[in-house]
Amino acid sequence: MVDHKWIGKTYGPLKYEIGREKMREYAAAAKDNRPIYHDEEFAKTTKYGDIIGMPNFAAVYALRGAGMVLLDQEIKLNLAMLVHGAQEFEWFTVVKPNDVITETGKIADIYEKGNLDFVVYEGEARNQKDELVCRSRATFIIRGG
Amino acid sequence: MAELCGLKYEDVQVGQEIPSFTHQFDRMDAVIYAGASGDFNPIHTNPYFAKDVAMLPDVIAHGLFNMALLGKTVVDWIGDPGYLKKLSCQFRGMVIPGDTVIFKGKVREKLEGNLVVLDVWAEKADGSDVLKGGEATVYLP
Repeated sequence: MVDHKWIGKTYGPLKYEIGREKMREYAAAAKDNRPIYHDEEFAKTTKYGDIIGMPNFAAVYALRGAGMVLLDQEIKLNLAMLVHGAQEFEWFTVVKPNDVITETGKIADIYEKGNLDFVVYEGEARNQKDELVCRSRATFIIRGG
Repeated sequence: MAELCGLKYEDVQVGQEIPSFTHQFDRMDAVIYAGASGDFNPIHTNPYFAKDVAMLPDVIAHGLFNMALLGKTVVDWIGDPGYLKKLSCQFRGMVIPGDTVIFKGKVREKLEGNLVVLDVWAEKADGSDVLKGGEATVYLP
């Protein structure tokens, strides 16, 4: 069982600088070659003015705190028995090259169901203008309690 | 200005299915996704580790890779990635090399403020779950 005293433990602030080629690399890895993710000349003809990150690129810039939970040496989750059970992203604006994202997060919940332990991470990513970009919620399941 | 979204809120019907996206998972997909995402867990990239240490049938796709293809499926429908407001799902079935996964969505509800909520999910060709209980919220002009 994971000690409930870790509910509320915070992670960050974690800075992440959005790189043009990293955005493209992520979109290509996710089999998405639409021009708004790759082609600056095309992007200039749209309201965005430059390429934008694929929404799911949030997996890179808005989940680093979740990675810290998994490696947290105070909590010591059993990684061999851990799976990513569920994920939620909510977006408020797009990301563009050179945006600087600051993520802050916390352990939002710890609970048990049968012999499964659930650990929920919630993170919030803001850009350099302090605009909310993305909220993420990751649920990890540890088998065997 | 090039318009990315060709859909109109009033043209969308509750119960309508969106075009599905089908992908056959290849072990290189996981290597490329590992590099792009920074998730180098060897259960996704190293078949010896996956089988002999993690006791899996083979390397498995990253859950977030499957979720990204689910996001792509919704964005293929709406056209403008900025109009995807929310996406969630549960990671259920493992996907191993050679598995074909079909990503699907269906309009559940139309809300005020030009928002549309969809049920979204992914399943293998045999109907088994990959991503379950998913929900997407999109804005449409």
